[in-house]
Amino acid sequence: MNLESLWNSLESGIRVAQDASILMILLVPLLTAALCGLVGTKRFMEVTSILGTILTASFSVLLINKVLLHQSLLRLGGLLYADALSAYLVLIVSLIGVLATLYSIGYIGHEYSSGLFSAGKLREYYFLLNLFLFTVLLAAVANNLGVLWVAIEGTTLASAFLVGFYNQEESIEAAWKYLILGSVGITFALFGTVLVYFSALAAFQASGGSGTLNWTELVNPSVASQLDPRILKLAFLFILVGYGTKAGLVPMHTWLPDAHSQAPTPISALLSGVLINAAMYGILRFHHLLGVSSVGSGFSSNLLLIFGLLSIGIATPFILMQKDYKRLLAYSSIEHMGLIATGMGLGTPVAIYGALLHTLNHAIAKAMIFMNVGNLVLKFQTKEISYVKGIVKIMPTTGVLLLLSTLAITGVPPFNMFISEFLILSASVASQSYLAGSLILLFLVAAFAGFLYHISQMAFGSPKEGLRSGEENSPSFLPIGILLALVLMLGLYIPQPLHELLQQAVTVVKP
Amino acid sequence: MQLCSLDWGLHFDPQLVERIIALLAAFILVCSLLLLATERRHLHVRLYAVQSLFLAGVAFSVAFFHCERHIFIATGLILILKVIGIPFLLGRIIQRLVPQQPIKPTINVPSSLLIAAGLVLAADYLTRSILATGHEFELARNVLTVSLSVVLLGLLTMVTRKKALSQVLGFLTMENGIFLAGIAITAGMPMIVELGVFFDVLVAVVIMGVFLYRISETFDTINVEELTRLKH
Repeated sequence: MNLESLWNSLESGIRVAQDASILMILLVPLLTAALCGLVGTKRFMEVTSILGTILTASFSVLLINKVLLHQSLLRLGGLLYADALSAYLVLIVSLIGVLATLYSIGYIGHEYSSGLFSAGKLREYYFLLNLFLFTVLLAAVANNLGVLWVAIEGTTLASAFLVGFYNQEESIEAAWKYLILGSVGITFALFGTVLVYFSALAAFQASGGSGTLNWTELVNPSVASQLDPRILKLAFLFILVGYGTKAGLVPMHTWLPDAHSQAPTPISALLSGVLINAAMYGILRFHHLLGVSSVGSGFSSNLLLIFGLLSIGIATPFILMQKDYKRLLAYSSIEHMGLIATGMGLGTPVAIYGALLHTLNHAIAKAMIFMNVGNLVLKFQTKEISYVKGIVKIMPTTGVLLLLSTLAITGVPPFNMFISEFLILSASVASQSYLAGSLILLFLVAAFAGFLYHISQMAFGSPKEGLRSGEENSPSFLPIGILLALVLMLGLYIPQPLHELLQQAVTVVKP
Repeated sequence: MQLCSLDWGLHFDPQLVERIIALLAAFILVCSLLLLATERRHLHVRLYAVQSLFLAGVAFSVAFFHCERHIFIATGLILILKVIGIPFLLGRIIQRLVPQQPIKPTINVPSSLLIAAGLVLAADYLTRSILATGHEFELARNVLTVSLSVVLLGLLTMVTRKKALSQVLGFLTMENGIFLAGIAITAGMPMIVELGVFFDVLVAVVIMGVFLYRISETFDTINVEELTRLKH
């Protein structure tokens, strides 16, 4: 075979894979989950999960390529849909998915070998982990707003047992709160979805068609302009409260610190990096719908701005006086979701670009710092900040990595969070929202001080007697190292394809 | 299959049909109010089953009188899952829970009923202010009022009752309220959504049941006020 025909067959192979990518990112995690559930040997589940998530991530890259070329694509008779915004969420989910799975092998393996739980629980873990990834990816590529709802409710159901994984009093309490609040929130979102369908039905009946919840048909100007603005406003309120509960917006956030602190650490990283972003994605879809309807985007923008600023403001004092280091990170997630909502609410292209970039930046920086504190949980067997001292002395590598990730998550240059925070801030100044801008700045600085205070207490000082020095989870340095590289790279420059994807996604959020 | 009224060549007065649906919707609201007014867990589960039966009645009426054939499937699913399946499941779970004294709600029954009345009025006001006036919207307005009220009352149940089981029932009645809106004012959602929602609700109840059991085992009570180890 000569080189040219080899090249041709390779090219057509890629094209076929590209065409199937949107289906494959759903099938692969589902199949991985099924295999883990059926076989259940430790090594097999680890290898399958790693391969599965890497394969999913590869297909997500193909999907992004395709979306960049064609703007959007539809599959399965209009059931699945991907545009730049969904492809971007798929990218974040599959990236964090790979790294959290890599981290799980060390972390969960360590706990398993120290006899914390049985082999059956290990099987449950890998099964639910992959199922959870499937539900989030389904939310990302669902065309039908009802299917989007089913998928987001699915994320709660798949992760409830993961949050309550350790089956102790605290974890059961956290899981119960998560399950109940998540379900109630999602019920509100369903009500909002029904209302949208109701107004769509009336709009379609006027033009002689039947109703639909398909995103692609709803945002069609001839339909969107017919939707009843009063019903849409009420619907958006329900959607914002509903999906906002899962996105961790204040005052519906109370499940989030509990769930994040009680879940196994790789799951905490997934909740922060994946779950809450998927919920925000749900809100953004409806935000767009209002924007193209006769309501205009002002109504939903203002609501996002209010809830966003409220979230940043309420989360900050909890960061300052925190006693539990996993809850510290959880409140920081609330703060950053607030910042993302604020950026979306500001509504200028730069602000939305910044908020979207911040979604990715926060996901990777938060995953990185969660993985570091996970190693502390393994070493110190406690989550109390005051009990942990002298990490740099007894776990030098984790200590240095923890300090670096603290700088990253608090938005110190040259790390990635600085860029997106700067974009949002400068957009607030440019759009003359000085109040929003100064509030953001104030709270970010306060959170920075709080983080530095808490983490330096843990990193320095002399460790408690009787603790042996040495790392507990060396395999974790691979995912943490990859994340560190990403955090630095995105702080210094944004690759061209990512930039294009973000630019396209901005127009999806706000037409 | 000859299932709906037109297949039989029957023609009903549309006003009569609207009244039947509105009456059934009113019964759904009454069930929610009764749920707030009683303290006994077995009665709670039965009230939920009865409420679901009225919901099935609404679904059947829409399917039969308006010839929305796909709603027959929803009717069947409501009967199997909500009238029989879930109450049966909850009954089994109750038997395995630790027996205990009745727990006083945070707000006593008369006051919670007063709050409920306020919520229903608020729902009515909200519905009237968003839906255009005019005769063709009368049913939609009534049903949406009931639906919104049932959702809010479910939330009230969840907030004021300290029992984990009441929280599950509150959630389930909220879900019923939304099903009512979905069936009566939009003649059902697209099929795939409907099946997905049914599936999710079923899975949610099973998972909640497992956690109810775990709470009961671990804490020796299902009083959620005991679940206070996590703060700030």
